[in-house]
Amino acid sequence: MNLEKEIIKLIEKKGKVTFNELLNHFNNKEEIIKALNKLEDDEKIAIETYLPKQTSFIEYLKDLSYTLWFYLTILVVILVNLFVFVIPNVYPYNIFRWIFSAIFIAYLPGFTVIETLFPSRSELEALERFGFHIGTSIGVVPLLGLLLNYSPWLLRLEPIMFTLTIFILIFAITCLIVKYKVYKNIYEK
Amino acid sequence: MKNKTLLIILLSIIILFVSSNQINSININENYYYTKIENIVKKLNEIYYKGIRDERLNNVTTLINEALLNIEKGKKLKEEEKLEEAQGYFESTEKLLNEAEKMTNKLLEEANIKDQNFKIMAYSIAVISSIITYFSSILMFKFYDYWRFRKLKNCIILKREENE
Repeated sequence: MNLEKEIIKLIEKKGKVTFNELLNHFNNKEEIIKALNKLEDDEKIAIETYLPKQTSFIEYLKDLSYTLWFYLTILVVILVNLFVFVIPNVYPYNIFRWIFSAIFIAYLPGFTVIETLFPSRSELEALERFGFHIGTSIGVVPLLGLLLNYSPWLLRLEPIMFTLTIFILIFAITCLIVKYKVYKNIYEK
Repeated sequence: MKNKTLLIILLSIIILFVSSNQINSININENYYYTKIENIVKKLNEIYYKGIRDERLNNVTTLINEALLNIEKGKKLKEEEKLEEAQGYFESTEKLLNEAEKMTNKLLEEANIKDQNFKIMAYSIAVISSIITYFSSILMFKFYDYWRFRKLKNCIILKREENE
């Protein structure tokens, strides 16, 4: 309780503090994390991811704590394409095909779109974010299917896979760039 | 006294003859066969519900079908009072049903063994998976803590405007 008050006092004094500054100041990792979670739940503070101003794009790409989501997305896209086009659709491989395809269809399109539109942490809560990811996917995939149906390639497996892969990759890369810019500018705000 | 002994011997010979005749005789009452078929079908159901899908089950049903046909023919002949011919049919029915029963018993035994192995496997999988879940959940929590800390290390904390 005291720690929470002291954190608030410190923020009021400095305007904004980084987590590292809090660690140097109070020296108790677990207690600080607990207090921050409590304060964030009570909507007294906002926690935002930020990038130090001098960080280059390459350094940002190398730091997994910022970009792990991007690599996992790419990995799932590659795996789904492998399981659909290369690996035969027989037991037990088809189980992996189902699992990765479910993520590929019902999560990734919405995930990339929502993360591009709302890149910073405080804009949406974690649970809202998760709901939006699934909801947007359910909205986007049938629309893409409808468009494909009227295209010369028609609604078949290969065009669906191709369209979804391109859609997810374009939004994932856009999101990566948007997040980089937002994180870099957040400290100056 | 002699007559009495002769009478006893004669009676015992008659009883022996009658009883031996009873043993060798074929039952021409169709209900006996129907009960036998019912028992076999009960066993077949048990095998089926234990998840055994074997081609030998088809052989047993074929035998039962043949036996049923024979019973029908035997019944008709019995009604026409051609007892000797009817007995022939019932004899073959008896043979068919005995064979079917033998096969069913064998299958049931196999099904029981498989059932027992399956139960052992299921229990051991349950135990092993619970142990794995226990340790993996501990690992996952540790990883979650570490990841949360790593993410927070890149964070800036701002005061939120008071909600009106």
